[in-house]
Amino acid sequence: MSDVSMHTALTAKNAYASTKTDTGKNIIPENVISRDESAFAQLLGQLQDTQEATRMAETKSLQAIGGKADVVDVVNAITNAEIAIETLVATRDKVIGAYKEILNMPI
Amino acid sequence: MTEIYRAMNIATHGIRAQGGRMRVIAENIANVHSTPVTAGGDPYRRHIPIITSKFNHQLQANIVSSGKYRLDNSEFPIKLDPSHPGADDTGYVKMPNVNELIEMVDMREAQRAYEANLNVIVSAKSMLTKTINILVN
Repeated sequence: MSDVSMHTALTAKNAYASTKTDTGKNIIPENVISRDESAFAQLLGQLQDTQEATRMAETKSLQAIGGKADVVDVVNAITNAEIAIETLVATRDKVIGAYKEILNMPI
Repeated sequence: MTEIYRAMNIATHGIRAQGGRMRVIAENIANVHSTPVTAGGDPYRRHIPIITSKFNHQLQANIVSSGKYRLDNSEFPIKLDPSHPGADDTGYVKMPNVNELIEMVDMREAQRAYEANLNVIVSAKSMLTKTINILVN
C-alpha cells in the first residue's frame, strides 16, 4: 500500500512540476493528448469528456420533458454522465490526497 | 468507448425495440373488437411485430431494431349478427383475427425481454461503479 501511495505521490509531484511550467498556456488539451503532456494535464483533458457526457444528459433530459426523447435514452445519458463524474471525482480525490501527502512530508 | 458503455448502448436499443413491439401488441389488443364499417367489408387485420438485427458501425455490434410490422393473413373469424352494419348478405360479420390470449403471451414475452435488457444496464452500471469504488476506498 505504501508503495502505491508513494508512486501516486511521485506522479502528483511530477504532474505539479510540469503544470507549473504550463501556467499561462491552455492546460486543457484539444481532445488529442500528446505524450509529453503531464499526467495532470491529461487528467484535465478527461474533464472535457465528462463535460460532454453531462451536457448530453442535460440535453436528453430537456428533450424528454418536451416529450421528444425516449426515457431509456435519458437513463442511458444520465448513467454515462454519472459514471464519468464518479470517475473524475475519485481521481481528483486521489490526486489531491497524494498532493497533501507531499505537503505533510517532513523536510 | 469502452466495452461496458457499448453494452449499455446495445441494451438501450434492445429496450427501444421491445417498446416498439409493445406498441404493435397494444394496437392489436385495442382493436380486438374493431368490426368492419361497410357491409361485407374487412375488419382490423392483426399486425405481427418484426424484430430485426442490424449491424451498427458506431457501436461495432449487432443492434436490434423494431417498430415495423407485417400483416397477419390468417382467416377472419365470422359471427352471426344480421343487425350489424358490417354484416354481409348472409348476416355474418367478419371479426378481427386477433386472439387476446396470443397477444397476452406476446406481451408477457416483450415485458420479460424488456426487463432482461434493463438488467443488462443495471449490471453494467454496477460493474463500473464497483470498479471506481476501488479508488474511493
